[in-house]
Amino acid sequence: MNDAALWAGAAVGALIGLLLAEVADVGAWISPKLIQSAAKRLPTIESRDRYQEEWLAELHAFDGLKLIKLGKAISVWLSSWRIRNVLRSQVGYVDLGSYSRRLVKVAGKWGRYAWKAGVIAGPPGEDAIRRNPEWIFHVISAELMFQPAGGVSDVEMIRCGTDSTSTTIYAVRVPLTAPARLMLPAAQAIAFILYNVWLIRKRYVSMPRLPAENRRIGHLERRVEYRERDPSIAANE
Amino acid sequence: MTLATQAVLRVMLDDPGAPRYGFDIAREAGLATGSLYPILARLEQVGWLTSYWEDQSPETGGRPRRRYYQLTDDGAVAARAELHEAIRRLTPRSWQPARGTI
Repeated sequence: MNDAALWAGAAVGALIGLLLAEVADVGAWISPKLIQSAAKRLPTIESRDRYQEEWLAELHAFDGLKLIKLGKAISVWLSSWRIRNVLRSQVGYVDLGSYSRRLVKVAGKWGRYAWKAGVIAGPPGEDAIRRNPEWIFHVISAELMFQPAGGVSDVEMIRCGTDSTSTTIYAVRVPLTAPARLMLPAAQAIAFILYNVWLIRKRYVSMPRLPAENRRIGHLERRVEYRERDPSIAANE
Repeated sequence: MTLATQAVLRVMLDDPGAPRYGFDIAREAGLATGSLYPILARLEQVGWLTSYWEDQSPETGGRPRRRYYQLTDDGAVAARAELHEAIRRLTPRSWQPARGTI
């Protein structure tokens, strides 16, 4: 009985030792991969390269201490999202909350723009900017809505207006966080629907008693009235 | 300012001119490695710390080059002031001398 317990204890001890050795070996292999994964979370290529090199150099000091190395790598990996948030504030990322607020803000302005310019639907374009220079700032804001999904960050200089009153504007495309990027197609679709619903309500539903053919006439009359009120817009059109 | 940030600043203020690398600061401040880097990034962002690569190639040093952190002049002044303020806030009122006694 004693012999059996002794053998069983020795076997369990050997198994635990084997497992620990295996974990340590796996740890040594996985530590650099954890560091790479942590660095990939950072917002810019420069920060990714910098921190990956920095952390790998720090881990190098623990060569031979496989489990400690693994612990340090896990610690860095777990906290990398906090570093990401700090660095994102430098880059000027737009998070989901502010992106949604901006979207709501822009949707109304685009509705008003469309009403004034007589545009039924469509994305903002350079032509619209040229026709209505006073709306350029709204177009800049709306760039957020229509930028391609992805971490794009650039500044585009656009000259708009007429020859006598040309204006230079800067369309800034800011990088969006991953949730905001995921939101982008849905947000565009919602904004598009709301925008058109708003237009339809404003132009047609408010005149429900008119027959269909007269609704269109009423719409044209409204545009004429508008041009009379503000000749500068009419001139641009 | 969090206690962890204060600990990092105290380590850096021990010898403001001395460059230190990340794990060294973490060990002296008694922080987990993961907690340290967000603090360093934030301090670097506000200009209290500056960082640079050590001037040594991996071939000559026998190890990868390290990133060193050092307090800036403004950072050292601001850090001292902040730590002083933090200590003042933490000191119970009863331990402070009454007005006019000293």
